[in-house]
Amino acid sequence: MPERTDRELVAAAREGDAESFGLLVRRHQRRVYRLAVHLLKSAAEAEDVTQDTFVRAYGALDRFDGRSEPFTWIYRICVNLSLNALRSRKTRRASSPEDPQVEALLVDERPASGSPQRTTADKQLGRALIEGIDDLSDTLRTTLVLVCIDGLSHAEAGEVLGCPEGTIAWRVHEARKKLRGMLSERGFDDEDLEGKA
Amino acid sequence: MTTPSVKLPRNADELLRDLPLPEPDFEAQARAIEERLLQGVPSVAALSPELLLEVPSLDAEPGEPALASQVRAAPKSHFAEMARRSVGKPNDDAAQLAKELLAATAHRRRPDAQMVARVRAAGKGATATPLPLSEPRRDRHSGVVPRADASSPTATAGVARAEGDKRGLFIALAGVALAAAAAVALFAKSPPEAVEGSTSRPAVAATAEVVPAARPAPAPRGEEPLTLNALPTAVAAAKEAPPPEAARTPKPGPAPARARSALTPSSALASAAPVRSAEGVPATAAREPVKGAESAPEPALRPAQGHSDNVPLNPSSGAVSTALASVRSGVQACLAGQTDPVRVSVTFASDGHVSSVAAGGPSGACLQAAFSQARISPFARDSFTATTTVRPP
Repeated sequence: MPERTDRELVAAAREGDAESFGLLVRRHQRRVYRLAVHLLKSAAEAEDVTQDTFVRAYGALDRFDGRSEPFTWIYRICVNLSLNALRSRKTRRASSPEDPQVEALLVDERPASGSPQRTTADKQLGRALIEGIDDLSDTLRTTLVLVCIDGLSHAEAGEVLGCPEGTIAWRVHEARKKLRGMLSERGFDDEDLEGKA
Repeated sequence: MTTPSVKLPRNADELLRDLPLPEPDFEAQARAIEERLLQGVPSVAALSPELLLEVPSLDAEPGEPALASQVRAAPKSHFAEMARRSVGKPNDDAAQLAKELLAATAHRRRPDAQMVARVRAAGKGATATPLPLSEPRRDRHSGVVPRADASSPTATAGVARAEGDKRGLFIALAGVALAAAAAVALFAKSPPEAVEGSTSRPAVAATAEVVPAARPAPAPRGEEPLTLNALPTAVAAAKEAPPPEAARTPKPGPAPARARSALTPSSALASAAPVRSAEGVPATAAREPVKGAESAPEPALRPAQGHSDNVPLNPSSGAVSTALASVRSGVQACLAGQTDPVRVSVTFASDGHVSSVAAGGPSGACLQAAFSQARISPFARDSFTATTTVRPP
């Protein structure tokens, strides 16, 4: 039996089929969670936001007009909830060893394509990347996470964030430019990495 | 410090796509979500729908381009602007140049070097737009751009010879002499009956006043005697033109004398302007040698549609009143014995005749006959209707 599309699942859920919505949750919850983690830097908050995203999406199913893909619609809810959570914080949480991304990076022992020396270099670069992303503005960070980390196209990211593809492209360019500058300040550049490789 | 660039260090993009994350028990999380759904979902209204479905409120970055819709939106223009644009559609470089110069003048801005170069290249600065006084001294000959690079070699030679303060005087004298020579040659070679019978000769003479201005030098030396064949072809087109004053002179003698009396630089230019061809088009081609023989002729000016030279668009109210008053006695006779005034609408055709009369009552036919005698001067519009009230005598 062919896999049902997101639209079909949404249509079924609208008719009261909770199982179809459960399938939709299982299909997208990992990506929603990853998006929330990158935006919130808190595993616990990301889990809450992920649950909230699907619960509220279910409650607003009848307002889904079908003009966009269901997952971009769900992403938009997740971004809105994450930004709301970020703004409700008293202070901005800086990147720390407790950052779930950093923790995961430190314990990550996945075999890399290179030598152990390369793995160490990757971890250093990954940490610098995480810190660099944290220093970006909410606008650039959200766009960069959607496009460069989650792999959405510019059109999809534009649909989530409600702006033209050109704006998404500009933001990605700007974010990468700043990220590149931050990495250079930390001593990461092409020559350095090539030497370590 | 390395200049930031879009390219990230090696394998940074790969790392970005594959950043490790702590992964919770997603299945347990999914079941938790389903449980919450079973417990009942609060209504959307209570969850501030704008938070859920509206565009995320992210601040625009400094320098971020405007929304594409704003950029691509066609500028709204009203009809006047559209009409203005349609007039300027031919995109003539000269017109464009004139607009730029006007704009520069309006903003008290000195035209840049490129604009000055374009004016010189077009060779129109001498006739149309003087350069600003901020130009270098060598370019400030009476505010006229030197025509050194004009395409016509004769014009270049003439300008090259006419230098300094004597330039204008020299040109004027040369023009007088050459015009006189042209007139003499013309009448010497023409049969007397043709001079008497033709209305085009004075027009030729008048045109000849202009032609020599382009060649001031050769005439006094007599190196290029002016002949009919040497005259511009536009002169032939001017043969059908209405005769100016000199044309009505029955004898051939006074015509050159009158032409001579009018041969000043200003009158030469003025005399060229009103000369029109049979089609009513100003014979501007006759002036082409002045601007340079190789330049393309300027488009001839034409009167506006619906207007001839002396025909107004509408008749004047005075003329209409006079015409209606002229038939008053006959009109009032139609109302003899009546007590009430009658309102009448009289419509004049463009030739000045009455085309229709709208009058009610028993005296309508009489009024129509009386008013139809009225006449006014021709006018350009198709018709003109005047309303008047006729009172019994």
